[in-house]
Amino acid sequence: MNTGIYILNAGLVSPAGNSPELVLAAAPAAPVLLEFPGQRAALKTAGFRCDLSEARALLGPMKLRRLGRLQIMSLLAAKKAGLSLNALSGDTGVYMGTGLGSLGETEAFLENMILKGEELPKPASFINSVHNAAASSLALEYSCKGENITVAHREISFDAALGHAMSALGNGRVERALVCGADELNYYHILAGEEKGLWKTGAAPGPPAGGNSRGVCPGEGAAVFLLSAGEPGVPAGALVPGGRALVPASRAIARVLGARTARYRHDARSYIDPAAAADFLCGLLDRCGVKPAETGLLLSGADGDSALDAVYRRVAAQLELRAGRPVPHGGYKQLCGEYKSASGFGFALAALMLRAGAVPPGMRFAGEPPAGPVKTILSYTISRAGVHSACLLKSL
Amino acid sequence: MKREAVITGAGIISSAGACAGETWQSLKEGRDGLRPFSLFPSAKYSGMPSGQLPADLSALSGLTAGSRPDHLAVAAARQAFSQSFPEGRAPDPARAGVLLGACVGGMADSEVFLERLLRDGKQDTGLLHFHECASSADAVAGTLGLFGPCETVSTACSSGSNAICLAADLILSGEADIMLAGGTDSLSRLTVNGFGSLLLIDPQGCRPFDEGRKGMSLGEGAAVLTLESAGSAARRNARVLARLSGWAATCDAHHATAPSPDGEGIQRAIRRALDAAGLAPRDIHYINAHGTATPDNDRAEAAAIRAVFGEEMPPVSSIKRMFGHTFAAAGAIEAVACLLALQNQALPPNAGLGRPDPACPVKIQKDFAARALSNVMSLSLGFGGNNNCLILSAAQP
Repeated sequence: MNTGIYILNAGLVSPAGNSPELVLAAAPAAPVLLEFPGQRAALKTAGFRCDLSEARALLGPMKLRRLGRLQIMSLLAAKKAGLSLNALSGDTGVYMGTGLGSLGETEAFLENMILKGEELPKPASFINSVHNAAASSLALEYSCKGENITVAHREISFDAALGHAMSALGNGRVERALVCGADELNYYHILAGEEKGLWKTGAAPGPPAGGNSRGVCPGEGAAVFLLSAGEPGVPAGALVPGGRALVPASRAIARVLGARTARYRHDARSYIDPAAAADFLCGLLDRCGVKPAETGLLLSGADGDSALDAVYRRVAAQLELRAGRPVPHGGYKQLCGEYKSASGFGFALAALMLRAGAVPPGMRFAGEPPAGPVKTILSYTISRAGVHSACLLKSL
Repeated sequence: MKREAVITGAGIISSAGACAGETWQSLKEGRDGLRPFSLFPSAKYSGMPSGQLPADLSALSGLTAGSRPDHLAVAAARQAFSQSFPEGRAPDPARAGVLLGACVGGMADSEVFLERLLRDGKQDTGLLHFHECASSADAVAGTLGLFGPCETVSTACSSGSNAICLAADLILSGEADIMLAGGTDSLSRLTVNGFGSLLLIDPQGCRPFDEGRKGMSLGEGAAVLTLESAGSAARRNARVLARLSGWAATCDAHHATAPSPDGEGIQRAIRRALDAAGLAPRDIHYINAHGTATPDNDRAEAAAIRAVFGEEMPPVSSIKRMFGHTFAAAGAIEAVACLLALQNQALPPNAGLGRPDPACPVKIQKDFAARALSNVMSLSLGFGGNNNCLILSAAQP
């Protein structure tokens, strides 16, 4: 039996658009000067913001009043994925990756407490401020009663959540898995980043081809995927021993082969040894039964910062050595900006690209783009804090 | 085939003690671990009973810098690591990782940043350096030189237990041979004022399962277990302290904060953990309850235990009067308490109990007592309807 893990549905809320069609057709846009309602001082930073104007119609005014931005983004992405209560209720697990959680609600609670004292708190904001609030909202919306996990570990949050979802599906702990990656823009986060010199000023990034400026363009987004165990060609409703139903893989968008996270030996100047990074990537490929030469595309988390982008290019070069042939190296953060769970956007782009069999015009390459349809995409993310992650997708 | 991991080390820091030995002594005595809250100025909450630790935690961890949870996590992890690896290093650091539960992260310092900015217009961004929850797991991995998976789970009060489950899963799926797993959390203005705003704090101190209980007491701390595959422990001839023989996590999908009144999600977690361990309800000899002492939590949890175990249920105790509710650390602290119970063959008491609530029909273990124990269960419940059940079993089946 060739049972694998398949992506059945994908939904996005992103600066590049809120539908697969928009995202696949998106061209890199210039970042926009960031402004927040009621902000105390003007910001100098341009970034990539999502359009949530559909939220009122799709989620209803009550949810918009009660919930924080991260929860709204996640629920909207789930709606855009076409998920239904019927399809998900019961034994569905939720696996969320978010690096910073509900910053807006945390800010609302603390600001109120500091300015107005302890006697007039905002309890709803406290409830919404916990890191797993978005995952809980998804579970409540779709009655998902399986595991409910939120990973909050920097830039590897989404890939780690994906890995746990795949293990749960593979071991039969859940029948379906909602895998999500979401992070939101926040005024104080941007303000502090300006002070620390994190953000780019001026032009949009052009990763991974290698600009010569430091800093990143902040962004935000939410990506939601429904994963299930599947098998090519199986009729709908077919059962396997144990009674667990498989979904026909022909319905799927793409297949997920594996995900992996680890810590790397960290150098403050050059971050990671490129050969060690390539070893990490080849370890994942090997575990998934894929040869390095079969890698159709390396999709990296290059974020426009010249120092880290150079590291990614060196890693790509090491991977090519192991592959014995050129491996196209593409980037996606020029479409969504940099945020902790951005690899979820990259994962969506990869899945949609595999289904479409074409390279999105908005993707940028360090070197030549793929010559034809890509069948295997290796996504790789380096966190400056000393951890990295990868996941591997394949066309049907 | 049964999936289980073995435990070869444990570390714990809390208001009940700075190591396993001190913690067990506190448990034996049923010692009230709560003291008047004074960690930061608060007109409303100063003096309330809390599981507060000293303001300066750096001496515990040896770190020159870090958030409160970072110091606590490293201190607890060092204890677990040195118990498992007296020689001071893991056999293969690339196959050894860290998975911690954390909720608050560096919020205590981030709050100071925000206050200074709002009141004085000054940005002290150095205060944000350890803001992220991930900081603690990174600090542990960096201190101990581990290069396997390094992740943080944040599922409110079930974080520590979920971290232990996911770490065991990483071992059994071949991603690592050894994982340091547990939880860490500290008090902060956000959590103190947050739970206070929900009217969930008992100003007299928590009284789990008591008829007159009025809510939680808050605390801070960390606990870490060294988990290994049985093969890894055997190859090293390591002393196995206990086995993590079963685990399960579910979600109520009922309410953002309150558990479903009949404890339906908790029941499913218990049954799945029992199935995973290949055990029947009668094989469980003690249950360490989440037992926060809120009216809703204790009632729902008792209903769930009753539904699964029936009249022949094992003794149940909540130990939160001795630690306070330590959020992400709670499940891990209680897992260590269960480990100590197994090692010492005795039942921790349910401190703070006056009159048992008849609406919570479980057998509350009021006093410390010697008891033959082979399998013990720990329950953790979190905001968002998260439920987690761990089963620890004696080292030898």
